[in-house]
Amino acid sequence: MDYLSLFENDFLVLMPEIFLVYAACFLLMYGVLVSGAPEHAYVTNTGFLVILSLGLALLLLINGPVTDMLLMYNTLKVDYFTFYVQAWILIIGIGVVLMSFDYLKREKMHMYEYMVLVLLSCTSMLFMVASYDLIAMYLAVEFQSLAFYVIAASQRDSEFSTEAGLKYFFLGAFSSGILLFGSSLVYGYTGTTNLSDLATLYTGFESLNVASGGLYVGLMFVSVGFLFKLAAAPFHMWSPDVYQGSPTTVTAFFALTPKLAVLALLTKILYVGFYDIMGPWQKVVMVCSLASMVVGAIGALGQTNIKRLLAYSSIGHVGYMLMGLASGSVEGIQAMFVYMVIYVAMTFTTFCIVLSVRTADNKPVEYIHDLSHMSRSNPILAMTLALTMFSMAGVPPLAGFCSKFYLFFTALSSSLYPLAVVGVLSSVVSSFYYLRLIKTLYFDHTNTVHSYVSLDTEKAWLCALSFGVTMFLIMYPNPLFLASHKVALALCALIR
Amino acid sequence: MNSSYINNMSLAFWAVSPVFLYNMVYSPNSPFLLYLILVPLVGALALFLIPSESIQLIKVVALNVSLFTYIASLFLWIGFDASSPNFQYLYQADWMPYGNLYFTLGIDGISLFFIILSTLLVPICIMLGWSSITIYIREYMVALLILDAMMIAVFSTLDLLLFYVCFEAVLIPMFVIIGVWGSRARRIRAAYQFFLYTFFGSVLMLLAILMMYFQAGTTDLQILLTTEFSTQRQILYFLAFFASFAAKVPMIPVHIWLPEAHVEAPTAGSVLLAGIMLKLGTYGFLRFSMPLFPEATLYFTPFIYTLSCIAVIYASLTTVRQVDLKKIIAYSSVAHMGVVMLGLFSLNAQGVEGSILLMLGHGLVSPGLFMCVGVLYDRYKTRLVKYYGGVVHTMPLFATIFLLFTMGNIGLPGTSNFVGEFLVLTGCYQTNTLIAALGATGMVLGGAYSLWLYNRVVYGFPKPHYINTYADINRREFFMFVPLIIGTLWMGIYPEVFLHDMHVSVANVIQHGSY
Amino acid sequence: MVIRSRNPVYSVLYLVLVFVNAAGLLLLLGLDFFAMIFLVVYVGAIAVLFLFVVMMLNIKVAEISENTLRYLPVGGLIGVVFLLEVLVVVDQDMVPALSATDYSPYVDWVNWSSLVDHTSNIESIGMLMYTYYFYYFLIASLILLVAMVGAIMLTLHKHRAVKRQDPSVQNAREFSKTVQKVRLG
Repeated sequence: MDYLSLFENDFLVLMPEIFLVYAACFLLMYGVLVSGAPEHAYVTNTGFLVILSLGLALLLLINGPVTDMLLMYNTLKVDYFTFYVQAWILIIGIGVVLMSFDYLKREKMHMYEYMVLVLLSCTSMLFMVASYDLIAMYLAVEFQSLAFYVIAASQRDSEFSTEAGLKYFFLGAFSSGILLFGSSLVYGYTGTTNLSDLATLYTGFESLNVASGGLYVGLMFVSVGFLFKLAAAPFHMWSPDVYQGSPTTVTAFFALTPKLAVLALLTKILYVGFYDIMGPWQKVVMVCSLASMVVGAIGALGQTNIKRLLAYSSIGHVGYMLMGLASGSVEGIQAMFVYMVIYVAMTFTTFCIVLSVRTADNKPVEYIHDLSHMSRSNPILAMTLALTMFSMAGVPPLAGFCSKFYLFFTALSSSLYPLAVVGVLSSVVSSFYYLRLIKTLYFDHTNTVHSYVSLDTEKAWLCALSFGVTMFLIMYPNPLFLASHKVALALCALIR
Repeated sequence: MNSSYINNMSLAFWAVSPVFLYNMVYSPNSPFLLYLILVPLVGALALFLIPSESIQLIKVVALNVSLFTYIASLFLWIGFDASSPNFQYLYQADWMPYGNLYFTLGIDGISLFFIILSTLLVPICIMLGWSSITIYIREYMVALLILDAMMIAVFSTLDLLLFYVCFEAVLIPMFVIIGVWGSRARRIRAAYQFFLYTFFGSVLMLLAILMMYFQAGTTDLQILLTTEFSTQRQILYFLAFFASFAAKVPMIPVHIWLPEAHVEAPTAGSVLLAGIMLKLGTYGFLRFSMPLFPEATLYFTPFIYTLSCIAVIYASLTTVRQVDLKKIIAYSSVAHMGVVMLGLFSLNAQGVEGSILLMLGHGLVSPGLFMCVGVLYDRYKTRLVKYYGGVVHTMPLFATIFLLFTMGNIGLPGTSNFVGEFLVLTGCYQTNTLIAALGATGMVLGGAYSLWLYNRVVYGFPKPHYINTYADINRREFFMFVPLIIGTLWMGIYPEVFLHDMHVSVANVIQHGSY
Repeated sequence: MVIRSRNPVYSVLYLVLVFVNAAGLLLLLGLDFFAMIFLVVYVGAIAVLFLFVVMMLNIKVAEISENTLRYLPVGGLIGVVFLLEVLVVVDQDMVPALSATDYSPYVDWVNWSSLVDHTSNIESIGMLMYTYYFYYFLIASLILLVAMVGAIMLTLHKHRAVKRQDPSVQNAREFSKTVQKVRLG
């Protein structure tokens, strides 16, 4: 029984995650103990501690001694792919906490648990990205979703928020069920849950011509479960409601991290575990990509609520990212990650601005027309938002173009012509509603009055940084592309 | 900051600049084109640093920057070697070396004049907005300067992807210019139309570019010129490029956005639209479609002839029926661009050179006409023809200038358009007599609507019910017109200066396609 | 019967029946420990919790009986499709013995190791759970932590009106001081 030597170095590699779990426990106790302190101060305090711990975890991650390793008895795998995604998750976590200070204060949500839950969900996503086994995957996904259900409902006195939490919970539980069912089918037909074992098992599978409907159905269920979590059409129904109902910072969090983590995990499972039976899942991903792009473009046309609009826009963006996944090539993965990083930057800018503008009666803006006249009261903010919208529409020379052209390129080079053509056309359609937002900002002269808003320091920095990426990426996109290439290669090195 | 201080600063700036420019042009391997693109961009950034209270300073800085760019682009001409068939002022920088994409700049005799034309029009536009723009002044100047940089870039880039980037980037400032400073509520619709027509066309072009990139592994024009694509592919690519350029030219079925955009845009917007934007499409045909896809070009020539002839005749006839001053000029632009397309696709030296000259001439004349309309509109706030009459009695100077540009629009000998149209028809006659004859009717019809317009507006009796204040053009306005007048006459009287520099480049294009 | 019965209390009781049946199935498969766990967790905890919730909610019977049939077409269709899919799958692979009755390709093997060193179900689960797969155990505990935090966060109100406990004060109380004998008269 010398199994202990099995895990000799594992804790060393898992340092960031372990640190985060400890930090979460500590912060929970801290929150309970100091909860007698003045109302908002301790929320901010916890928030900064959360940022500190996320930052330290990032440092631990970067200075980790091991770059490539299977650990925890083959249930986790750490390599450059996970490193990259985890680093981004931590950065986004920090960003979201930074965004929330001002918002929580204004909305009078004095809950330190919110901050801790952000921390915990970041932790869960770190686990998620690293998991290399279907059981580990399912557990991590559950962990993450549970944290999300709670923060979606965290604005307790708002009916919308409660509704969002409930809806998210039901559909999330449903999709988890599908995911689990799929995994168990896969397990039932292969007898293993480990991704590399699966990959070994499937080598040359398609040419063997074995009847394996059950396996395909299982794979289908797994992919559908993930697509549910990603809110890709036709499994997107929950996302506009949840986006609308949740507190805005939480919406930002939902728009950013799960997309990154879930997509990364899906990519890993499909590319590592099931690469040799690419045919079936490629069709699923393709259909979902097509549907998401179209739904994202057309669904958003009629929206008047900003958050719903952004929800549809993110559905569309997921469609584009899935295009990279469907291409089944190294370039596809690379393009997907480039797109993801740029999407993160643009979403950060957008949400920072949406969070910082308030209507005359000091409510958060809710409808698009609340933003009209903003170009008068906050010219710089309005211009930033307008340019970000152009970037989202994929107009060069902004960053959004950079990501899109590479995606289209990979789609074309994998002969996915329908995807590329529909993608291009839906980007034209979607530019219509982005333009409508710009129109509202600049051209409409309604009687809505805004007071001049000065951003709080945290948001200002965040906004400036992310907007800088959007604006100037085209000048020198090389590092981003190279890093994503490295990620894609690290992932594909796993394919035997 | 008082104005004398500003003036002194500007003077000092101008005193130093020629030396600087001269050094730049004649020092070998200096990335002169890159500097040329950067100057307006830096200027635009600098405008953000000026506090928004000092409006005068913002205007002066913007004007100086744009004038400096103009002068610098003239130095481009001075240093240009007309006898060389190669691209000149080549500059290449890493953009995404990993993907074999480079930031390549370079010009030949064709793009040279478009650059100069665009840098000339921008300071004029800034002066146009000097007093008529009252809101978002800083943004206006920034948009114009960015537009300036993007237009230089779009004409000087030798990389397809980069071309696409700049081609689309022009949309953003133009969309804002139409939407924000346009005159009526309908401007939003116009801005949308402008944006969506162009965007829709050019995303198809993007797909074609990506396919070419996939096939050839590069988007560098100079390398792509040595690549042969199969005929089917050529046709496919040509159609995709056509979708983009035709919307921009605009060819007849997709020309609807142009009158809308012209009518709703502020004067500066119309000037830039007519002066430069439309040329992007024809320039694209000349620079990319024709040399890259020679077989497809031949294949589609009849199609384009047909569309262009319809454009010439139908648009001219439409023009006669219009009552809005700007719409008249807009439709006449459609007609003229039809003639340009005829010249381009005649595929011989006379036709192509003529169409380039016509583009340049049209780039001077129709901005001039738009500015004339702008002058009227600034005074009387209406653009409908029926309110005007007898302007010659109250504004003699204006009437003279208006006459000059109207003559230019007709293509009277002595003006730039005459030379262009003459060459185009000569070239056309060599390939297809019928087409040349049909194209020539356009000139007749052009005479009809232009003269009739001039007649209605300038002659006759003043209509004191509507027009009861009088002011001739002021000094600022006069100086805006001067460069355009000089250019129009110069090109009409001695076009060889321009033709001389483009002979080799045009021959290059034609020989490359072995037409 | 869970969804068809009018009275919600009945449906919960039917649910208990379902759980018991599932536990029976597990027993048949020889998973005695799981069967017990199933009973304890689902019947013992969850179903009883449901029962409480249902009783507290006080749902009128009439409200529910209105429109149960309305969703039948769509729901039934999806259900049937799903069932067929699973049936097809099961038919194909899971029952190889049916298609190959004359000759079974499978070698009948004897699990010698189990005869030599027999471990019970619980024992083997424990051996794996706490050694090779302790990671799953940890993650599951974290999930529970989040669930706990969430439950507290969503329900704990910090209002003056809400009565709260102060554990330290409660613990510090002494019996002799709180309970006093009051002498009457």
